[in-house]
Amino acid sequence: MLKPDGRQPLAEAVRRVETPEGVELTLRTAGVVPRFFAALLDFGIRFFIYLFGAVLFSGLHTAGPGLFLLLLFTGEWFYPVLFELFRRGQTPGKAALGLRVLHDDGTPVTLPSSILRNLLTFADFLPLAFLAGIVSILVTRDFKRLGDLAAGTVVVHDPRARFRRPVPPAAPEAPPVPLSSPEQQAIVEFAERLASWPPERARELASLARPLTGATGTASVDRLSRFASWLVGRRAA
Amino acid sequence: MNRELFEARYAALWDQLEALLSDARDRSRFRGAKGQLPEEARARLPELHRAVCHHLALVRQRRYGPDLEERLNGLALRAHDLLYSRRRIPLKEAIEFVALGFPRRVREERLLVWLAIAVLVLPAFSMWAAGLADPDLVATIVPAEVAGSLAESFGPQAQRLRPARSDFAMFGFYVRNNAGIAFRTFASGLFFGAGALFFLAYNGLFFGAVAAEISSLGYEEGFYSFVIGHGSFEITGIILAGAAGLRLGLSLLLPGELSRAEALRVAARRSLPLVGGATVYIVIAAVIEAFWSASAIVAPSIKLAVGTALWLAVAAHLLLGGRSRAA
Repeated sequence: MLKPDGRQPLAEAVRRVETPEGVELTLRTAGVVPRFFAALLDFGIRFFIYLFGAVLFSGLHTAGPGLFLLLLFTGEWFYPVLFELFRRGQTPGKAALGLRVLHDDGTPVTLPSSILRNLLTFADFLPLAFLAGIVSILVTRDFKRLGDLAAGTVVVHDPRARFRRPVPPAAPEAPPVPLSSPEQQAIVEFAERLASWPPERARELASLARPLTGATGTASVDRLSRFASWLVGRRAA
Repeated sequence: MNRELFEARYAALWDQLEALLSDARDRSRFRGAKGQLPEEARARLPELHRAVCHHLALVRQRRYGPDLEERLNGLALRAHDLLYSRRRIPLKEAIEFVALGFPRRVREERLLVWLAIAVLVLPAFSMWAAGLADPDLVATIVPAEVAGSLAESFGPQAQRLRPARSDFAMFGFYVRNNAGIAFRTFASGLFFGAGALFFLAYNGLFFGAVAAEISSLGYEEGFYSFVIGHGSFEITGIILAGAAGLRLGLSLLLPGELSRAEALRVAARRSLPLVGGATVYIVIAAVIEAFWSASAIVAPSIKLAVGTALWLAVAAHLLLGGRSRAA
C-alpha cells in the first residue's frame, strides 16, 4: 500500500540507512519466521558439533571431559559470535536462510556488538521459549530482539540472496505518466509473479490498476506486462 | 540522457566494482576483509563506491527502473560493507583494557557495584545467621545431596577431593558454570534490573546456607581454606556482572535525556567492559579452584594466607588499576 504522498508506509520490512556518500541504501529487515528457521538450523548444527567433539575428545581421557565442557561453554555463548565475526555476520543457519547481522547503520557487525547481542540472547529467552525475543521482534520497527536493541544491530536479508524471476517478454511500452519508484516496483513485481497465479487472480489484480491502464481484465494484464517490460529497460527494437 | 545511454556509459564501471567485490569475497577466509585486496583494487574501491552511490541517486531521481535501482543498491551495499569494515579483534587493546580500562570502569560504576555487593552479601549473612539458628532453613535452599557431599568434602577425614587427572575437567566445569551464571546475571538485568538482583540475592542465599551448614558441622577450616583462594575472583566476577546488568536495567528506568532505546544502547556499550573483565576474573577463579583450592598437598594455613593475598590483589587491581601516576 502506498500512502497518498507516494512514500512507503512505516509498517514495511525495509530499513533505510544514509551513507557518508550521501545516498540512502535500502536494507530488507528479516522477520520472525526466517529467523526462527535459521535459529533452528544453528541449534541442530551446534548439536552435531557437540557430538563430534564428544567423539573426538573421548580419545583423550585426561583432558577430554574438560575440553568437552569448554566446547559446550563456547558453543552455548559464543557460537554466533565467532560466525558473525568471521563469516561476515552470518551463522551457518543465517547463511542458509540468506540472513545477515549488520549494525543499524549498515556496517558489518563488530566484536563488541556481536558479544552484546549474543549474551543478551538469554534475556530474549526469558521467561521461556524465547518469548521476550519473539514479542520484541513483533513490536519493534526493524524486527529487533532485545539483544539487537541493546547492541544496535539488525538482521537483514542478504542483498545477494534475492531470487527473482525474469519479467516475461512483452512489447515494451512507456507508462502514460511518470511513476514513483514504489509504483514501478509494484508493476515489475506483478509481471515477475504473473506466471505463478491463476489467470483469474491476475485479471482481478490488474483490474485494480485501471486508472493507469485504462482497461480491466486481460487487457489490463497485457498492458501492465508491457509497462513492466519497459520499466526493466527493454525498448522496442 | 535516457536509461540506455546511462547503462551503456557506466555498465563497465559497475562490472568492475562487481568483480572487485567478488574478488574480495573469494580472497580470504575472512571474506571481504579489504586488507586482503591488492593495493590497486583497494585504492579504487572508494572511488568506485562513490560513483555507484551517485548513480544510484540518479537512477532513483530519474526513475530509470526498479531492477536497475535494485542492482545498484545491492552493489552499493556490498561496497559500503567492505569499505567500512573494521579490524575485528583488537587483541592488544583487549589486554590493555582488562589491566587498566576495566578497573576504571568499575570505579566509575562504584554505586552500582556497592549495590550489587549489598544484594549478594546481605542475604548471605542473613541466611548464615538464620541457618545457624534454625538448621531446617538450610534444607529449603541447599539440596540434600549437596549438603551430604559437604561433609565428605570438607570434614576432617576428607581426602583429596578427586584424582589429579580430573582437575582439568573441573576447570571446564567451573568456567562453564560460573561464567554462565555471570552472563545470565548480566543479561537478565535488562528487565529493569530484576534478573540481576534475583541472581545476586540467590547466589548470596545459597552461599550463606552452605556456610551455615558447614558451621553447624564444624568443618570451617576445610571449607574456608577451600573457598578463599578462588572466592576473591569468582565472587567479585559475579558481583561485577551483576553491576553491569543493573546498569542495563537502570538505563531503562532512568534514561535521562535520551530515549529509552538510545539509553539502553549506550548503557549496553558501557556495561560490556564490566562483563568482559568479570569473565576474565571467572576464568582466573576457575584455574585457582581446579588446580589449587582442592589440592591436598597444600596445608590449609597456606591456602588461607595465599587466599588472603589474592583478595588483596583483587582489591588493589580494582581500586588502583589504571590510575594515572600523577593522581
